Amino acid sequence: MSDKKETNNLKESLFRLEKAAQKIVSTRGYTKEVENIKMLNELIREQLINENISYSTRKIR
Amino acid sequence: MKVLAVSLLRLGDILMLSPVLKGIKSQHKNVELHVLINSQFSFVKTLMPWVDKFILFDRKQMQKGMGEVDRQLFEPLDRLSTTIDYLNNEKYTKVFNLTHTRLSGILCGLINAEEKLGLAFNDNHTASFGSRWYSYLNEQVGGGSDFTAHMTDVHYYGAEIPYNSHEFDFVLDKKGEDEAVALIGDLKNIICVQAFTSDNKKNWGLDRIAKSLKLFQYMNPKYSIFALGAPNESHKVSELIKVCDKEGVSVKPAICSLQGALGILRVSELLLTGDTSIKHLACGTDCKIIEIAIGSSDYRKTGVYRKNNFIVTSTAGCAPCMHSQSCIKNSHICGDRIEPEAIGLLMHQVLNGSNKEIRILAQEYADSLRIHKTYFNHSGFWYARDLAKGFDTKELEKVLNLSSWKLLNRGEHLKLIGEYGSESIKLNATIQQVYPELKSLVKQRFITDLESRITQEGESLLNLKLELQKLAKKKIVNSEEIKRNYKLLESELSPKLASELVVFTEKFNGQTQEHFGQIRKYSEAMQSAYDRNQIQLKLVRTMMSQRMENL
Repeated sequence: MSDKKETNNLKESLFRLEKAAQKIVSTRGYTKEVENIKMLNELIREQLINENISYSTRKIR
Repeated sequence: MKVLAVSLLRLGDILMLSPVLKGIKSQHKNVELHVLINSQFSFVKTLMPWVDKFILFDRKQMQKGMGEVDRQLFEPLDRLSTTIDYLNNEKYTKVFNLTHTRLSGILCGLINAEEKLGLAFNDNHTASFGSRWYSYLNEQVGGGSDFTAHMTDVHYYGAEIPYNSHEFDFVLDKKGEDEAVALIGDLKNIICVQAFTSDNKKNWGLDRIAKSLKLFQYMNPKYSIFALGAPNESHKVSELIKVCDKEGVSVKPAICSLQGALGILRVSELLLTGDTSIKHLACGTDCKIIEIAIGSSDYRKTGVYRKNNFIVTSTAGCAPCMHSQSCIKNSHICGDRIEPEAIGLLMHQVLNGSNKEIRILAQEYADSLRIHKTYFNHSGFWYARDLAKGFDTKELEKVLNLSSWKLLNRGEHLKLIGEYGSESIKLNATIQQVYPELKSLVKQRFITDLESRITQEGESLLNLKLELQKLAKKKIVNSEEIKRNYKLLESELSPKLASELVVFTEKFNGQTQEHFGQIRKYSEAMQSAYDRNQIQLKLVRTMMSQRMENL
């Protein structure tokens, strides 16, 4: 991604989504909504490729 | 039976795993196969009309929704929920995750199905794999092990489909046929070049391609050369043609769709390519393939999945490097090392020469590059032989390692009488298949050497296994012993797991309960390494006795 502004927006979205997931987990437990949010987090991480450091991600392909 | 295959990587991955999709489809009668792919690759539908339904994952829109300030975060969340509801309404019996990313793992966890093969995160966010082959993919391949099976092989075994057909059943439609005819007419003697990959590091360079083509054209004037490119690559193809013009090589552009490319490849005799989706597309034709695998492309995992083709790699120590990161060297060493002259000669030999001549060529340029020939070996794995190198214990270890994984994952070691005899016959046949030129006595010597090494390693692994059992008994482990055997752990577990284990045992404070998950992971990995060692020992000894009987 070349656009710095968009990168910042994505990072901001990632932060907000992580916060939201934490809040749901603390109030309602591990629900399907949390899984959906985690998926969106992964979508952002795959876009911000360098943050995608875990070995169960695309790097092994 | 309705089944879903999830393939959420890029175009090349979808094409590369096409034989697995075909295998799933053909495995049972009345299988309704649905495939989930990223929406930007919807055009692959026409190539695989035998897939009953392609479901599109709108990754782009979802990512866009999260990257723009004026859009609500609920929009992508809603889009995602709708996709998952849609998938659940299909009521799948079986789900195959052919992607192995966190994203696909969470998605597969949310889809209801009786059976799931491949990574899926459960309700408590623990990973399940459904098959030991996917644990192998996660731990061994993902952990950076030197011994790795081809990705298509892993999915063949992981999806539990018979390993007998490697068919790329791509269907050429009328539009593609017409497109190809419009570009090449009724020309014969065609070769194609796909010069551009998705990553700069994987591109060999236009000058070098032009120089190789010049040499090839000089030796083979009857051939017409076409430069393949997608419509969005037309300016790059023009650039290639200009560079070729300067070298005095005549190259024609072939800007076309994937279907058009399939049409052209069907009548072509040779394709020179980098690590591209076109390479996998060509596997569905009779066109011979030379792949230049440089930068981050790791031919052992994603090399051309068809027998009797050739992969050229560089001898640069840094290759293959990390995906999605720029080259860290001052110059593109891996590309620089591959001499255009060698590629031009290889192209000539692949079309006109014999195996022996290609082997001589490989030996001649062995200082700067490696030429690998591809096989489907008798022990049931894709295999690429370095043609400059003879047979040695390392090569034997490679085939033995994968066979031992196969037997371990099948639970053969737990049976009263395991299938070691037939597997050893296959291994002996593999050596004969890949190294026919080598004398039997020389092979026997390597097998004997390996037997003594495996025996020694078995003793060390047993000691390490017993040492690790102390962890569960709240005792401090002799971390020096672990460090002393680091190289062995690196090769038998994985580099990642070996380094984790060293750090863990150094810091272990006797609190077993606190680290229960980690202790279990290390103990299981060590048990698996020891079991594989014992399987290898049985295999190699059976191979030796079978060879003695044949003498």
